[in-house]
Amino acid sequence: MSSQRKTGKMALSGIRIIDFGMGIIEPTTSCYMADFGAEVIKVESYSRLDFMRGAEFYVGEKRDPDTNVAFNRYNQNKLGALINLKHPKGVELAKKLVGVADVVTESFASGVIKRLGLGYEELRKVKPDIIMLSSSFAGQTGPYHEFKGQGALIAALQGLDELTGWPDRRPISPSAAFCDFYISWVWVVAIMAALEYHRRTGKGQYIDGSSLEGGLDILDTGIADYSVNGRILKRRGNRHPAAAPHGVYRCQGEDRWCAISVFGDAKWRSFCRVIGNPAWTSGEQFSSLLGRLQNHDELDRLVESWTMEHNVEEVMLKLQKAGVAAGVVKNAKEMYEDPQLAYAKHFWEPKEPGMEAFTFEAPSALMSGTPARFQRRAPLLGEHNDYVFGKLLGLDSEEYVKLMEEGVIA
Amino acid sequence: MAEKEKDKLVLGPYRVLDLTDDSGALCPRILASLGADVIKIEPPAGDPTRNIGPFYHDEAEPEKSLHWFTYNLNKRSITLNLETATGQELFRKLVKTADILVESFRPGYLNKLGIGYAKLHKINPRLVHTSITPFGSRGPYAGFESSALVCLAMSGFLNTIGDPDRPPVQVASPVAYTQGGMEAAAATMIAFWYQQQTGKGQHVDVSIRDSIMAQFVNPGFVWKIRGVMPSRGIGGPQVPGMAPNRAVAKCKDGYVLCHVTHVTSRQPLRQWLADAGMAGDLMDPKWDQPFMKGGKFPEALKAHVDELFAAFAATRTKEELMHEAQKRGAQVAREQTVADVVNDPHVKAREYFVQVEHPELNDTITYGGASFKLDGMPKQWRRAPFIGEHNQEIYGEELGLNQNELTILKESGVI
Repeated sequence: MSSQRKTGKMALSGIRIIDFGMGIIEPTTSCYMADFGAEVIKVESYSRLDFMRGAEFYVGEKRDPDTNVAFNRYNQNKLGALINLKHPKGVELAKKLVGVADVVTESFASGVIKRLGLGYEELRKVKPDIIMLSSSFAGQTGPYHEFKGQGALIAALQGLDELTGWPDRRPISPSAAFCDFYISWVWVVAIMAALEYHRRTGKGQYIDGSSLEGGLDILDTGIADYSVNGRILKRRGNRHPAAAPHGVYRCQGEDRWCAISVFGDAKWRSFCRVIGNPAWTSGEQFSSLLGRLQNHDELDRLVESWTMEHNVEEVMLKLQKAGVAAGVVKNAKEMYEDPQLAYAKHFWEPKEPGMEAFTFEAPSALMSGTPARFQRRAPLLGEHNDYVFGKLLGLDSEEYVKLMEEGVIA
Repeated sequence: MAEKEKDKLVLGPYRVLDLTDDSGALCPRILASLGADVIKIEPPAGDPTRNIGPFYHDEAEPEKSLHWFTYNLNKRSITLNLETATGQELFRKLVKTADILVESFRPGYLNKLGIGYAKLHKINPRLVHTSITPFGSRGPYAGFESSALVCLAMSGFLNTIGDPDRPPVQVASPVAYTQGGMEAAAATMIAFWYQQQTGKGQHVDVSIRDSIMAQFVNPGFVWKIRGVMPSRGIGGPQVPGMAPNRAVAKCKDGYVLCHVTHVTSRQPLRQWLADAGMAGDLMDPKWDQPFMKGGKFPEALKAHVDELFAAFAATRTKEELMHEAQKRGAQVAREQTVADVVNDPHVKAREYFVQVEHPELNDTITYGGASFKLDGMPKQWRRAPFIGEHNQEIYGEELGLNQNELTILKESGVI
């Protein structure tokens, strides 16, 4: 059995997702799909706002749930409706909504959605071929399934921190929370795969997403190396096992740095030419990659004696002109001024008033036929109630008002 | 594989041509884990990524690269010289049979050979052509040389990692490539969906730098809203005037991460230190506001808690600290090494790892498996292919070249 659906101009036109998620990982999953045209309906209630509406990143002096910058970034292009899931009628209403959806996503702590009466088995009764993704700390099964915590804890368990930093110091916990800004794409792959499986077989399924496993691809060849050679991949500063010089070098000015990666002897010779072939570059200890790797500390000092005399942008451009990999360690200000991001129209800058403070970003993936589009900022609380309950579910105005008065649509 | 068996897999009926190097390797690996027929196209002398270590038992040979092993599970391999006219002709034939092409050549390279997106689109309008490059296929940085480190640097992310008294510092694994490869997989699946609905292919142009830039999002907000520049710290981006939120402490057998200032976990942490008799003056009511009322957490207090927690952590193992924290509602996790992850009872119980037979090595190797489980994913994983292992299957049996023709192609350096 294969289902025919209405297609439109965008890649995911015709797909409807009901999004019960909060925070970052799950909301950015459905957000990515909304950017490519899926209709995503975010379900919240006054008694259970997405906590991102209250995050640190607010415009002006006041924390206003409707103008939070982080919330707007993670929920751009979605619609919003209010359902109180603690009310029995709210659960019924949510089920009705699931009945007209292709995909349901949620990020309650493990087991909670089941207790609310909206677990996969319940939803299947309403929509036998529904696809459902739960995104939780460590999944619904296994010894840690009840674990709770911030994304930074997940990164620690994934081994990311032990790989970050200097060999002579403690691990470093990078990013606001690494997995928070990575796993959304893993879940998009899973959902798209489930949709394709459904297209051909007519079968839905439940995806028990564990953020802990979701991010383990960062271990690269570490798992096989440990399994075969018993070697444990460790943090190693800015070194690379097969490139030298390879590092982050101080340049002119306050806290300015350039990343440089020199692979192979030909690139090394190009590098030497750019820095003017000073006498030390012909030293025997640097003539081969092996020598440069073995004398990397000395090499770093000598490379830095050149970079420190130059402006960081100039270091990058001179090396790039000679075909040597180099890049400015860009700061926040420079990211907003980046010429390549401007070329790719990475930052969406809608012209409507009041939008200037927000950061809306396009997906990195540029599609030639069905590009992502900015259609709307994140929904205000209950902004699309009329569409969702009136048009989609066909409630008449009497029912609608009653449900509002009873605190169900609230 | 029998047709019917193939149809049971998510991407079983579909073919992917894989022309990626290490910067894009994760994307086709994922498509292969969904059951696609992924054909890795290698130069006749073997793919350059076979030279990437580490190696099986440290024997540095092209058929023993653990990089190759890890990223080419479940694929087939053919050799093909794309820089010859005959090679290009064969490639065009293969493109007609493919649903998806994933490549990570320098922008412009395939165009120069006459097999760029526009030409391939004419041959096979259904084809989803995914390019994975450091900065995208077009634009001011498109021609830049790069590395995983350079992508991190240019993403705004590297600037927020590290100790203030040292340079910004990378992650030892190429996380920029992981992130770029994963976004490429997501976008490829989206374009593939559209292809299945409409029969239309397209170019999917993924920039690795822009993908890893997702890690920069919070520092970006801070700059944009408050005009202050986040700097590097050991617990993520540091914002002037805001207490850093995390601490990494040495314990009996390694390290733990503690989210010290998380609003609902502060008081459980304080109580925990007090119960151990190691809270110093923390129980003084003067600290009630930040601990119990969700108030602002002063930087000096954060430093003070860090010190007390470090002294406390030193008396416990990472296992004890993590489990006790979960019971109490504090936020502490083991800092796991790769070995810890491989031996982690939870990750094992959820059957994340795959054991793959390598009959020729008379060995079984453990790899990371798929990051999620679905109906329609292959249960058994196959080892990575040898150089040109499937030349006969694909050129001979499928494209119908006879033995004589194959020999000529071999001798002329095409395959």
